[in-house]
Amino acid sequence: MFNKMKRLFTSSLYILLLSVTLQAQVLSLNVSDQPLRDVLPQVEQQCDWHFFYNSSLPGLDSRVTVNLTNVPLEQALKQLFAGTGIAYKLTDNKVIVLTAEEKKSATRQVSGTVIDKATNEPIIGASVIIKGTTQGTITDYDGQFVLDASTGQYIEISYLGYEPYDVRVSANADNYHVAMTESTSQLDEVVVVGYGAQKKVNLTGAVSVVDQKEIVGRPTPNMAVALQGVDPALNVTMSAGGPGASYNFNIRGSASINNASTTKPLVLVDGVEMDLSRINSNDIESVSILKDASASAIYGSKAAAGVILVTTKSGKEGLAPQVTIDAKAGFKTETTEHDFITQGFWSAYISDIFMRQHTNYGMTTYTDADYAELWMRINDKTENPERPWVVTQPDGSYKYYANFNWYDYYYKSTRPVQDYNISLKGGNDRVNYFVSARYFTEDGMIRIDNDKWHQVSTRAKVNINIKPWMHYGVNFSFFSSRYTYPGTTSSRELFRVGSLHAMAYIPATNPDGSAVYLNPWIYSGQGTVGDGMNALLIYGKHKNTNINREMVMKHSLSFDLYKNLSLNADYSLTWRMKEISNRSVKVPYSCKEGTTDVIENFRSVDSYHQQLARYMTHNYNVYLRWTPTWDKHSLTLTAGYNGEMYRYHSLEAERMDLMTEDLSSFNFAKGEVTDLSESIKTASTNGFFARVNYDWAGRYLFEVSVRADASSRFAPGYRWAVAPGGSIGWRMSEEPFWEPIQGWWSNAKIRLSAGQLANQMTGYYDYIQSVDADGMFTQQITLDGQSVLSYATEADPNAGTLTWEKMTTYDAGLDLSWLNNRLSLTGDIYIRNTEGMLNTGTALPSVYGATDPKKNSANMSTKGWELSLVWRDQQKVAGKPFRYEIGGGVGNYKTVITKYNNPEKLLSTYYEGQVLGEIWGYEIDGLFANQQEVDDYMTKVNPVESEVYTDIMAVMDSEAPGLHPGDVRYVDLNGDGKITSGNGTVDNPGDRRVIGNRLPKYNYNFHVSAEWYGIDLSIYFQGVGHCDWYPLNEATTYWGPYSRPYQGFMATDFMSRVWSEDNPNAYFPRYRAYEALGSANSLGPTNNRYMLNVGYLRLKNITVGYTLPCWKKVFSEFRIYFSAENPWYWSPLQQYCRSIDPEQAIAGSQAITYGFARSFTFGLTVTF
Amino acid sequence: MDLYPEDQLSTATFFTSETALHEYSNYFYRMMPDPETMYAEEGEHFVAPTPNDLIRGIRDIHSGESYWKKDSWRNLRKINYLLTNANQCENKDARDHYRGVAYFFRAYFYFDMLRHFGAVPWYDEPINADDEEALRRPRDSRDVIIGHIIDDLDSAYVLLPAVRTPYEVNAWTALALKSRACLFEGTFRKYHAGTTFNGGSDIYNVQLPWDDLLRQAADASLTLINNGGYSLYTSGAEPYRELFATLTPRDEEVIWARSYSKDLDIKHNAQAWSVARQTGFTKRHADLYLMTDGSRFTDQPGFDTKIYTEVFVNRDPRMAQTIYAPGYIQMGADKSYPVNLMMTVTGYKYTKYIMESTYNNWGGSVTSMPIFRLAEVYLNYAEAKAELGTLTQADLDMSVNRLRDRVGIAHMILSDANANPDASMTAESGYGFSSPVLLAHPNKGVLLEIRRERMVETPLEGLHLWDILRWREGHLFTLSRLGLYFPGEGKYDMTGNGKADILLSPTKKSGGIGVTCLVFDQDIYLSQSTSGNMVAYKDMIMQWDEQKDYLWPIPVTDRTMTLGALTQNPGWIDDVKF
Repeated sequence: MFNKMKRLFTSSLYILLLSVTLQAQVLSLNVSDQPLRDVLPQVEQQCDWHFFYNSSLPGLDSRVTVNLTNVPLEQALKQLFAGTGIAYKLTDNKVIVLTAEEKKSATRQVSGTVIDKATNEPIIGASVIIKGTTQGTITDYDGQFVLDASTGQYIEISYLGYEPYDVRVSANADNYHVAMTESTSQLDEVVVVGYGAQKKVNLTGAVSVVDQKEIVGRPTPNMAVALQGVDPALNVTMSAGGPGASYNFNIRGSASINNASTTKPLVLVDGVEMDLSRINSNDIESVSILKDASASAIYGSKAAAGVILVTTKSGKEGLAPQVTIDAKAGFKTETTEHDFITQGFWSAYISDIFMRQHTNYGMTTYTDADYAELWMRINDKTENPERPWVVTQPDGSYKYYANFNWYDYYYKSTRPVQDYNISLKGGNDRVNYFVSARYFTEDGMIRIDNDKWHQVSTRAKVNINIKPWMHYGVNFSFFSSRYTYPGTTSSRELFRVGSLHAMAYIPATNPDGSAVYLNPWIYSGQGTVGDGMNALLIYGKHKNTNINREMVMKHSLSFDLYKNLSLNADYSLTWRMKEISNRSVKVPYSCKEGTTDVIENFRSVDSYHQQLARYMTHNYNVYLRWTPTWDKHSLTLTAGYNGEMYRYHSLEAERMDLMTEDLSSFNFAKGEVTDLSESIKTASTNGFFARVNYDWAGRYLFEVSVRADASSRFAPGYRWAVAPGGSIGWRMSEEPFWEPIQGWWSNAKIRLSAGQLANQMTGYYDYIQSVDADGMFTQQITLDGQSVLSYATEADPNAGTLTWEKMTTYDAGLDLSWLNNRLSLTGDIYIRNTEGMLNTGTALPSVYGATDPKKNSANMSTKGWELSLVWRDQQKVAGKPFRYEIGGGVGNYKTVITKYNNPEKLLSTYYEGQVLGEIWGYEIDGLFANQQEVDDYMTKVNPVESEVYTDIMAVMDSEAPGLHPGDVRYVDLNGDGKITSGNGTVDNPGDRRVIGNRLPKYNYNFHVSAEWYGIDLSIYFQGVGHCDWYPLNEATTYWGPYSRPYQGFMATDFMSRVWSEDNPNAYFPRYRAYEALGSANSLGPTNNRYMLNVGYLRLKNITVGYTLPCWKKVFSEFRIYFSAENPWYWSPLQQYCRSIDPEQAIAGSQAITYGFARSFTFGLTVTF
Repeated sequence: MDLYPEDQLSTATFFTSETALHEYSNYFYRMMPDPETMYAEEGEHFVAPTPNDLIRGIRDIHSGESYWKKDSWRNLRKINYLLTNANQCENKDARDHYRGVAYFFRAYFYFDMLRHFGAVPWYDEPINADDEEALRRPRDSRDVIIGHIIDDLDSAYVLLPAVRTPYEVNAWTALALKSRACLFEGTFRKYHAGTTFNGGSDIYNVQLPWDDLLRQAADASLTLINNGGYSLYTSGAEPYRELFATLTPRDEEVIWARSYSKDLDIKHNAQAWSVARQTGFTKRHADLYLMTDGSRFTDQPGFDTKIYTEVFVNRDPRMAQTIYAPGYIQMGADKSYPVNLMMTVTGYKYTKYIMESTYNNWGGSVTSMPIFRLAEVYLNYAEAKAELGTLTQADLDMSVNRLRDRVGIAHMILSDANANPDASMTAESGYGFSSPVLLAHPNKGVLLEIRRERMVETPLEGLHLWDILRWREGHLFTLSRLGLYFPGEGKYDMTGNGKADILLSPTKKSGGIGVTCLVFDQDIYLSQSTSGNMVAYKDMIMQWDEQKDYLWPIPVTDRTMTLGALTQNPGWIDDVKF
């Protein structure tokens, strides 16, 4: 057809002739706002001319309005086609050929200036695009733009934070002045939701959007850290403070009591599942948190605990290549104080007095003469040659009189951190791209043989419009991290055992440089300094490396099939590798001049261990999207398929006795193979999903979605789970009746949602009875006396009927904004019922012959709420615009077990009616002030029969056995004359009651940000309202010698908190070693007196930046900034212990972890 | 969608290979008896430091839970699992072999349950968690259980190879178990006839006649004796002692043994139990040993007041090979030490299973522990025939008299024994057998001699408790436990070298070099305080309920969970009512 048309064009000869005939034709046409396509037949009816055109010609759908009466044809045509972009040609055989208007002739250069309406400041970098085309540009530093356009086209100008603005190119203006109004709300924001995007105003589910400003640019190693506290529904707890520390997170509390580690929110980065810790926060464009089941139902089986959707940055059409470089460097320190006793005299003295109260000998076995030596040196910060810290005894053994700072010896107080990012983005009508790379490195806190973290990540994202109706995208990312550290496999070990027997009067090394570990003078040859960690670090041959690599490759294709109908298909491959290697050697130490011994414990063995694990996930999506609109109706239909295949394969080996200590390879290992095993896990899911969104005039909003998933983790017949979800919204503010108050109450929306999700995170093959082929009896058996009998046997059967756990969520929400959207509020209340959690089913008679099988038999229910409030405004200050924002959020929830198979209501497991996280404990009403109080107490309570006084009452040769003034006084709650734990049930808990809850309550955050004259400031606080913590036995920096009399890190003011007759109002009881170590000791049992509130308020981040106004000709942005992460916190815990970070306490009851860090960095961002 | 574990086998495909069946059946060997049930075999014949609740007659309602529990029934589940799945294996020989192993162990399991609980529910396939009917199955009668035991053992005998190996079960172990089980059940029925344990409620109203069971016991024994190819171990200077003091089983005689190994650190406690625990045989047991000429020790004048150095003279050599005799030299030692009376409550310390002193330490023994041996089969054979009344002298000669030949004492003569029943074994002053069934038996004389032979041949082998229960002689456990006789204060030679080794005295005093002073009522307890027999369990009340104590109680929780489908054993009162 086109060829035919070409031929027609060439016959221009006939034009003259035609004009004659044309004159003869007259038309009358009266149309109003009709598509041109529909008008053409009317023309044909009135004359004998026919139109000839390609029906896909752009412009045919332009709406035209003409009012003509008996106008000559040519004139009529001219008016009709004006501004439609259509050119016409008349041929000799009465055919009017329509073609697209040739640009050259029609377009011209137009220019313009974009300014802020309020401030008249130019807007730099606003996107200027000709609507419906791929042409565009961005405004320069003066807010100016130049581009080619033709009359009738619309120029669309948009800039983040401003209402988009359209300008029609008129025939008689070439320069346009655009004043943009700042969008004071995020109402028009487009939010990424499952398999699509939605305008925020139209959302009906509980979805919150994280402002990328709160994430990008912070000196955080990864997104897990950055997301902490961004939304009150999102609870992120870090396990430790060190590099690469793992984290736990949930949305609105744990969704299940089972597999808390696997039942966690699904994190999708550009639609592909990833771990938060492997996402470069600088790549992020937006983050959506889908909190309720209706919003996440479309993701089905993996979304039971909520979904976090992360969208990374993309290139843009019409964006000239833009390079951004961000570099920051700084240092980290610990958040807590470490003012520990370093005077040898006092460290020895305190351990001795504590020990003597427990047993009849001291800890150190130092004599008065030894103490005199220590006293002489008490103020020697460094060793005075006249008073050496190590004195060699006649037999060659060493005796120690040091003032040694073990904490500073083990740990660095500051450590460097560096973070470099570079990104490139741009695009034209055919291709757009985004490429980034990052290198992040930090040193750990271990001073000797420093631990180091390196992290590299890169992303490349390209979208290609192959045809106007066919788009292809590829998104590739790679992440690699390497952590090297000294010591034993568990880097945490140093923090626990490193301090044991590492007392200030003992130095780390002997005069000849050998390591101190054990000798006759250290606690009579019983105490092993640092349990060997010191010697091990000095020797420096223990090496550990953890490597994680992840590659994600996603290919996607989409087709615009028809108006508003598209077909999307993508395939992604995630490949991950974990490599762990651990080398351990035999560690030497010396206890006598000229001799060397080898440590004999499990930390000092010659072995090499390696684990190689591979993970592979294939994920497929195919879905259709149809978005028809008519009149005031708009509809979105999404339907498709999602399939996933997962495979994990790990190989682990360990072998003893290597030929060299300096290299580690199995090639040198000649000893026993202590481990050689592999583990394979596979899983697959198939899911079909569909969603319908409908709204009428943006006023009544409906959404229904359903997803059906089959999981390989369940037996055929129990595989499928359906996740339905539905929500409705009513934007009252769109109603006519709202008009009178629209002026000050700009938006009001009520949302209601309900949905059910299913959780498949049980074991991989739970329904299949597997056979353990390598069984060994607990008490080994031999048949012939030659070899140990091995056996193969099947695991105890699971109920074959195992199936999905179901979570049903009901959510009611309110979105309000006032004063032209300057003040906005979002609130939600919700109930989430989890049903069918796997748990031991009913007890079966013994003849069953196997452990009672698990069944989907436990239920729980979570109720909670969230609220956030933001005020945004701008004013002129000193003639310059001052933009600021203040906002905050808070949320809370409570989870109750509603069904659990524990008829006796044993406290050792879950029981019906239990509030998740509750702490049962005793009550202490104070310390015995004097003997009279002790005697009175003993008339009512028999301490010998009291579990909590077992150790105190035990007949031991301590200096003071039995109850004494200064001991803790437990309250006999049940009045039975003894303090016991009863029979450990709810009905008979002895003298215990619920005294607290260990789950963080009232997560809150608030932030302030402001921008003026190129200066930007953002302050961001995060906190936990309340969280109870009972420090357990090994929380040594809290308990000090009450835990172990030989633990080295004790606060200098510790003794001021210890009871004595001169200090009767002290916090801690009379000194006595080991009291906190076990449940038979008086401080071991959980009680109210020593339970602490570890809620906190933390200044999470403060950033101050300055965008330099100069060099604008070269750089579109040149900003310098200072950012401090975690610089300050407040917690009630500080009153009792300043060396434990409250988050460290939340992470574990013993609070022994890598120290939590704060960082201070200076950075530079350059864009050109 | 169907994904199976790749690093673990799944039951759907597991049982296809011979190796798999072999490895799976290895699990069953955990049912081998705990050696402590052998060397710590308490009863009227042997004393442990503190008597257990069973022999004191004070078991409580929970005492059955040690035997009727998930872990014991788990064994049955596994056995039935193999039997249900063995057809996955195409190799018929392998399939048959391991089905045979499973049949053997199922019989072994049910025999143990039968002995403890009498009637138990019978299951021949693994129970599904939702199979309410099976889970609440009432108890099947003793008839059903012993019938299945015999069926299983007959199947095992056919399916298992007829090879002599003491390590793995085979056709001969199946016969040995059949011999033991049929003798147990036959005699139990005979001696308990008319009691609440045989009669009364349905499950104890047994139909299968006892004599049929005893015939099967005799037949199984005879087949094993004639066709098994086993012979008594007769090598060495003291074959009886060496039969037990060995690291590897004497496989000419031992049909099945439990092995131990120092290298593998798989050990038991038989030696330390003697060396370091206050254990000992009773006088009642010691008196059973005949004189070498076949005459009875209890017929010797003044036998009751013979002292330590006198009682071992001219006795059945098994006595000094089982009990610490004067002049006893431990293996590997070069001299004899006097028995440590502080470390035995009766003076008759055992030396069975005792080897060199390197194994003395706690948990340090690695001697092979026989589970079945030919001697027991001989005794089973003779006893079954005697109970049936079909015993001949030839039967005795081909069975118990071979045991006597090994140790060189005179034969048992059928006619002599029946003509002159040993009154000391039935009188209250003597061993005290008092079952009216026994007393009225025409073979009473030879039955007593066969029981004597059984008791002196197999002490501390885990048989005695069951013998007493099946003979219905539980009242014996209430008898006082006496030991060595001491006429009074003074010095005694305990090694037979003519020199005094101990001094018995009311007060602590020196008895000279090498003499240990033992103070009355402090270091040594005698029946008349300063004279008489050593006495264990002084002042301890022992009781026995003839209406109750022959079985263990069914666990209360299981009765509750089955809504009373499991009935309680006679005499046991619990609160479960339905």
